[in-house]
Amino acid sequence: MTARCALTASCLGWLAACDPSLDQRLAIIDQPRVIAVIAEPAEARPGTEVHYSAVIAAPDGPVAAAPRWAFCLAPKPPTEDNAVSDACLDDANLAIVGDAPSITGALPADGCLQFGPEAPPGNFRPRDADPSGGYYQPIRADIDALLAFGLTRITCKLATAPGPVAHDYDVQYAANRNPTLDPLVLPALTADRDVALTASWPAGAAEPYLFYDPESQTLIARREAMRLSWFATGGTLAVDASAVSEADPATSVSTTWHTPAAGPAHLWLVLRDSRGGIATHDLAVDIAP
Amino acid sequence: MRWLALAILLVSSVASAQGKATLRGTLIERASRAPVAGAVIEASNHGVAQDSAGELAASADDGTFAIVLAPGSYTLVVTAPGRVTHRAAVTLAGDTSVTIELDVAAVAPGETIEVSELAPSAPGETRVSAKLARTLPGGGDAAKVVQSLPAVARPAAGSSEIVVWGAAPRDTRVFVDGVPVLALYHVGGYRAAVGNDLVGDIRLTPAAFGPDRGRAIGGVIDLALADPRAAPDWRAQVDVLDASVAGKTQLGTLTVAGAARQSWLDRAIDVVADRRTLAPNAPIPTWSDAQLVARAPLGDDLVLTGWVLGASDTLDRTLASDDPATQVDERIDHRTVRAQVTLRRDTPRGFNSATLWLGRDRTRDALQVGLIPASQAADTWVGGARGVQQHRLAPAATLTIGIDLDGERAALQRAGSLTIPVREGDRYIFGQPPGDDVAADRWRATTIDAAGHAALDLRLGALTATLGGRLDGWMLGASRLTPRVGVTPGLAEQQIRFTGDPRGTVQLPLAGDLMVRIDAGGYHQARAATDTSAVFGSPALGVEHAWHVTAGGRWRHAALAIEAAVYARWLDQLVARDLAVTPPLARALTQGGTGRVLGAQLTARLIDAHGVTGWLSYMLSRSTRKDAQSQPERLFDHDQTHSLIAVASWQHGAWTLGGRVRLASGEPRTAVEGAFFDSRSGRYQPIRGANNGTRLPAFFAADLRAERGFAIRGPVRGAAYVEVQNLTGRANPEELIYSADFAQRGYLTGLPLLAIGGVRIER
Repeated sequence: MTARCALTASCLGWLAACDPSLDQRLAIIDQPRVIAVIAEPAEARPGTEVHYSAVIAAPDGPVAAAPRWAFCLAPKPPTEDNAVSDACLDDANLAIVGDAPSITGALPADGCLQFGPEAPPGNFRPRDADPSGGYYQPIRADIDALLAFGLTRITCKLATAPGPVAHDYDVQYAANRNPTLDPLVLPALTADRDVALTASWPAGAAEPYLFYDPESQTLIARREAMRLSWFATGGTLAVDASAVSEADPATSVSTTWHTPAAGPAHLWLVLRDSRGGIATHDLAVDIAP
Repeated sequence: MRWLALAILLVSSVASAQGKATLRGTLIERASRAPVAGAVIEASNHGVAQDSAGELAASADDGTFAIVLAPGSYTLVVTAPGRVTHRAAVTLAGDTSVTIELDVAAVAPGETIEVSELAPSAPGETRVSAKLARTLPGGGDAAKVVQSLPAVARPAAGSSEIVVWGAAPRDTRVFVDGVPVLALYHVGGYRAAVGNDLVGDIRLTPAAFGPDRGRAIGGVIDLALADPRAAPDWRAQVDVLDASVAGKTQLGTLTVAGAARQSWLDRAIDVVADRRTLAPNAPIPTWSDAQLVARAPLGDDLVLTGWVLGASDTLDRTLASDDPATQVDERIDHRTVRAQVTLRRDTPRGFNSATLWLGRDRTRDALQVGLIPASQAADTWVGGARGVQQHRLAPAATLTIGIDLDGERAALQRAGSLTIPVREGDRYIFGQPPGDDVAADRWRATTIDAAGHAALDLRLGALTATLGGRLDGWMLGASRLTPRVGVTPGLAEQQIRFTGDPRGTVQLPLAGDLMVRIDAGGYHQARAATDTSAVFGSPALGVEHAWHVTAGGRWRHAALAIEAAVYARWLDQLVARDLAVTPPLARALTQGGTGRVLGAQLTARLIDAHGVTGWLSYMLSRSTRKDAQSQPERLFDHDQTHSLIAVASWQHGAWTLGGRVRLASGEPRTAVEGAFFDSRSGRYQPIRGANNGTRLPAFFAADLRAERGFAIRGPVRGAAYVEVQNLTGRANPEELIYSADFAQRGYLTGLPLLAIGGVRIER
């Protein structure tokens, strides 16, 4: 039972079966696909400059393309499940940054009002934070038929917290930084074999951070959870992604790659921290017969 | 009831040879001439019931009964759900036959239907005895028949929701003997939460119900617990899903019956296989329920009844995933209890009745998808009182007046995304994880409704009419007008509103067995307590409103009745989401929603024709909603254009066969027209088309149930049954599902075939 099918069926009765012909896995790159949009720094105040790049994977390896970059200016209604508003699909709501493989642009200055906790005048509902307490500025990357959105964490004051709590948060909160990945080391590979893949990161990659808990209305010290997605141009991967929870001090995860037929292949690792930071690593390998 | 009548006939044939006489009779409803099943007939020669074998009987589905008595003079007392208690003097010198006509009652003990005795059933209304319901596919659970009644949309697999004539599930209220209950079915919809063994009568009024009922803008489902005297001495039932026991005892004039049920589906599956391997996506809950019913006659015309119902449901599971971001942990814990006591006095010109009830609900729902949490908890006290007086003013005029008090006090907690739980009208893509913008709130809500109602039934020549109305006073409160910030004390929201709802009926018999009838009325219901959060909803929500109009005709000949009905609902002030990008503070929900339901229904019913009872019903319906005046009209989430259902039960000797065939349009869904990659989550997200702009394919299923009864020893009898659902093995689409990048579309389908078997023993 694949992930999406299990999730869909979870809302339905037990008299349900999924369509097995639907591909629920993303780990094997069988067509060009954006696998990450990286912002550097991972978190910034509105109005400051951020550098963006996209990682595009294809069956033949990495693709160097020049996306058309644009900030989305339309906030998401609270009734939307998606990460960005449907209005971000409309060019009228975009602020074009430019066309380039990587680009630097200044975050819109009103980010905390449009996408953060600051409500416009007139007693409106503030936006809700994500489970790590963050708010995000969307940036759209158009690469031919591929459409991707990156979400840059923006640093905003706490608008809905009691005054002293908001002050402490403002003073003590440390902005997120992108994690880093250690280089992937592989033995000599032969076709049609199981290979253990281990991805690791430095101990400091999973950063501690201050979280405002809306339920208790207090500040809580937390540590980032990490999630690593595996991609390969062939063979099979045991899982799409592996995770390390906040409470787990582990700095590595492993999976098994069943290698494809002999020839060149490519592997990508994408590490995400729970505050929106991203690190990627890719590796070209030759598989012996 | 047929088995009981047959058993009594057997006893009577033996007794006759010993110098006794048999009183045989047929019970019919005076107005409709329909047989009355499930009535209790007491024969007394001292004015007090003699609860010994041969002096107490129950009527069969065709209304017949038989009692063996010593020759002499007796008083017969006939009590039946929904009918006026009937008394008659009978003198037996030998075998005697009688026909007894019963009038429809406004209120009866153990019965929630309050229809004027001059006004027979409304268009689309259906009443089914539990005895018949248990013979139909539905796992032998009487209340499961509701999902097979005309006017009810075909439910999704595993759904416990009831959609009646295009009304949202929340808009249709479920009552047990006039007391509202938390839910009709246990979690997963496998079984009824009100039990099975003590259910006596089930009635669905899909629209335009009378003024005695309020706080619902859809339909009303009434379950009447059976008279405990008609319950078997004991009964035990075991099947794949669960096991149940029931019994009764007599303590002087007090009759007490009890029943309990415990699921073991989870343990049964564990015996044969690892449930995670067998059905990794299967929510297999555990459930239990228990009922205790008591009845005590306090005099010739005064009866005290009371009961306690309890139910609990739990579900605890983890759906492992190839990606931790989509791993699902789900926990459900629901507990509910209701208790009521009713005192009823019959008078020569009517009756007086008073009911007090109290209940407690505790619900906990927690869902975690990856790192995204969602939880909702409620602890609720509910209670109320009802008083009804019916008085025949003249042979052609009857007045019914009553008061109806209903209160609820809830303490609630909620955390997670605004979009979980999903609301009617959400542009929801099945299987998409909830939004990861989360909030939290803790609040209290109060809902009090004090109502008075009156109905005057008139006969004007051949025409009968009911003119009535209901006046409700609402007190609606929420503990916080704005979201909590620190320890700052919050201002509470409190509002008092008054609503008036006229309701009326006109019925005219035409030639022969043909009659036509029109019903119309106004209806109000309070917002849900769960919608009054200052963070997730709106504390200022008030009451929702609807107008209902139904018109229909009925032709009856012998065992066949053909009914046609057209219906319309106009809904306004519906609670709906504020779709603004930035809604006002504490106004995430509005009352700007409107709706419209139009439809027609044609039903043929067969009542005990050569042992066959059942119905064939076709419904054509269109139900639409607007979430705000500025929004386009869209299809209602559960709209089903066409619905055809055929249900039949055939009794022949020791065999009882039940069958059901369903054909229905698929429900509307929002299609996915594309997708984009969300770099933060690493998942694709859908680009959605028009809200409810497409439909699932049509549904078809045929189900069969067979039961064979057998004698065990003396009065102890047994039965073995097997039920096969979806005989044709058709893989019915239940939901649209997509590949991970939304490039491919498929269906989540129901399993091809399911068989359930079990045994029952009773005395």
